[in-house]
Amino acid sequence: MNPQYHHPADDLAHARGDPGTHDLLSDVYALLTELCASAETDEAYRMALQTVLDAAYTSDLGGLRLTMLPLLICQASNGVADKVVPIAAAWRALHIAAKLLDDVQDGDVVRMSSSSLDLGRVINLSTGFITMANLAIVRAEPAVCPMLQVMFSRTILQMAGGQYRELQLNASASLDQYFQIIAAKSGSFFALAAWSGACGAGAEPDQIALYERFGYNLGMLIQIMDDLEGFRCSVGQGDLAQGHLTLPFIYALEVASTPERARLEQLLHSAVVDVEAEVQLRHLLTVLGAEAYLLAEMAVYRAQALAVLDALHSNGSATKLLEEWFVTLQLWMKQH
Amino acid sequence: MAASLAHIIHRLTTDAQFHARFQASPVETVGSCGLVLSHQEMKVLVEMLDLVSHVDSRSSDDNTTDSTSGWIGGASFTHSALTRPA
Repeated sequence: MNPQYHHPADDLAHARGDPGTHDLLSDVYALLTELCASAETDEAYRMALQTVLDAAYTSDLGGLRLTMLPLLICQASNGVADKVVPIAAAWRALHIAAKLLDDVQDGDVVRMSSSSLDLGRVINLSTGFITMANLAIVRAEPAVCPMLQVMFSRTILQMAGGQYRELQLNASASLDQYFQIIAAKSGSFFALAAWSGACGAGAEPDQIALYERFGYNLGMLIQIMDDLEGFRCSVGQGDLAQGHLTLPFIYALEVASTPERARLEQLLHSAVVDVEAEVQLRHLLTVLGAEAYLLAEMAVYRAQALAVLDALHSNGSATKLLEEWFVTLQLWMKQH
Repeated sequence: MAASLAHIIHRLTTDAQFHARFQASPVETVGSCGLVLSHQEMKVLVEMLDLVSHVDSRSSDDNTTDSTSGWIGGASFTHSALTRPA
């Protein structure tokens, strides 16, 4: 990370009068570490959970700091951000669990078979983080705790359902089906972050609904960006080389002629073992307009997120830090 | 409306005549395909038209440094809400 880099989320710590720059983020991880340390469980398992937590913290510091989202939204809703640290911790724990399971689904864990993290252990760690999310929610304000428990559980079921459907995707998948899947997996998950941050701040229901919509659009934007990154990876590294059915390919299936579709399917099948097939597949997808399509969808979700921020600002929300965070996210997208 | 946007972008990317018609009158051109785009989708498409220029009409160095042709850092990624005075 650039040492001169200044993240708008840091201002949240300053705004509450603390001299530290990463206080709230470190508060979130301190809570997760405490939950991990106080669990009556096997010492080796506890250490494995902590290792993943440490890696997640490092990733947060050098990346988008998505963990700050519930805190920033609480602050924007004129709430006290410290009060939603347990909510941010619960959301981050769930995020880590989902990421681990996603790696299992994508086969990334199997490919890392030389490491100490085999398939069973990753599923086991993921279960631990889901449980830590539940324990963190219990630390939230008693007035909102039951609502949070219900919303977190509902969202976990939605995400699991999306993941289940994704496993059944095949070359006859439509764009609508794909968008339903990413809405369940990513849209709902970021909507939860935004909803819970506003809820923890004690915001009015109409305001909470607006934040939830902001989070949904943000989640869709991030997921499509993820698919674009997977498409642009170096030869042998990205989604095409792993035979993943992501948005560029689903788009191409939607618009391609019958002979082109057959060629696409054949190339995707071969790309897993044949670098030349992967190169040809990437070229065909580009010629069909896949990259332009993903950028257009990103722009649409971005514009929808901004429209919600406008509405919130008009309603008197203090969205300045949230808006700056959103700008940082876009700069990050541009650089990656 | 993901499918409608997909089909329009495909036509813009692969059909130079369609691209020219869209440039001249976007709403009518989309309507002539029997497709419907949201206001936001139409706005985005008009903004990023250079990016979806027909493959044959692109200059050879269009994608040498930025595969988005500068679009992601351009007008689409600035917004009055983000430059609002404190």
